[in-house]
Amino acid sequence: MNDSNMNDSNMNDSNMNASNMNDSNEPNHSPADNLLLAELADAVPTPPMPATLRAACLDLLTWRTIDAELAELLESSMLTGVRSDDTDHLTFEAKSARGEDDPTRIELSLGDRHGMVVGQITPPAAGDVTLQTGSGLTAASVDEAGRFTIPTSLRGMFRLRIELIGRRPLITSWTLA
Amino acid sequence: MTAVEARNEQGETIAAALGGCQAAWAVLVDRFNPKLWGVAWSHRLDEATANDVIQIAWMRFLERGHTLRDPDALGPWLATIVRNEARRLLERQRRNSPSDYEWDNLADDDPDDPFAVLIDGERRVAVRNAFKRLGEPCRELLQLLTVDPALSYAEVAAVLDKPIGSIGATRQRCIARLRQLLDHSVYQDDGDGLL
Repeated sequence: MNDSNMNDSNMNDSNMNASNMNDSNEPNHSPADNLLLAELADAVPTPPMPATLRAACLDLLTWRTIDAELAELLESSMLTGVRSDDTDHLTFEAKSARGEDDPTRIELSLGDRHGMVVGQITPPAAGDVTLQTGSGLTAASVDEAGRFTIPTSLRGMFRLRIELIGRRPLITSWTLA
Repeated sequence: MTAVEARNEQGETIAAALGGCQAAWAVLVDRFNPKLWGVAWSHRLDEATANDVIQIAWMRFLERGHTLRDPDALGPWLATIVRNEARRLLERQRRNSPSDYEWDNLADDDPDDPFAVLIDGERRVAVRNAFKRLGEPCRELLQLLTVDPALSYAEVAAVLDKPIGSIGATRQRCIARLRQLLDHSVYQDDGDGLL
């Protein structure tokens, strides 16, 4: 390991050229620039990572099982700036659930004030929906018009698992509310 | 390790992690978390939000990682998710409390505060003040370039949504501008023209 590291650094010392352009560690920069950047790193430091982050990330591996079609976040009122009140609107779409031309869409309204998650699935079908958050699961039913209401206010990570009669189960991408 | 060896190693580690190997998963988390933390910080997210955003990036990897063809694309891909989610949440925070999340309000020093100079040293305060006067694009780039371990240019380019080939020249230009502001501050009072 030491050998190869030494070889690498020797090469970089004697061979500072454009071949290293893709490597941010040793591109062809002036020592004065590198020095000022180091001063900046010292004057405006990135704070240390919180100790809990690593463990939280390591735990995520247990969530990896997907036995359902993934519905991805298509748009968000947080991004588009479209808003009527304090409610955030999210739209998820599962492209392959019913074929490319007829995707299943899940529209969600996350109301701050009323503590409700209201959803609409199109094309509609009845079934069950389960909200998964870091703190647990909440189930609700989907009516024949594809509507559902989950009496909870969302903050943080969540996903929905949706099982509709006669269709493959859907799961929304993990999203931050 | 050569670039090819590193790429192969990362490909194997990704496959093992997606297959449920906890050790491989830990390797990836430890490899990229400091960089992702740096990207989150460059957006001035608070700690709890930065935590959430980084976890979301990993969740998406677990959902979609099998579609990644190029193992080298993992870093830029994760960094892009952190950036997108950071922007989305910042937009909402600004909406809910318009003044709380401006960069300048989060900066912890007053340019005229003599105690900041005492504690931090004149040079550091001068560098910080010069940095604050840079335009936002330069601030974002330079902040990303100070992350340790360093982000690859591909990762920086992904976060900034700029071509890889432009990063080196922009780095040079932004550092020159920072130096100019710094030199300028020697002859002028720090407080934005207040003498």
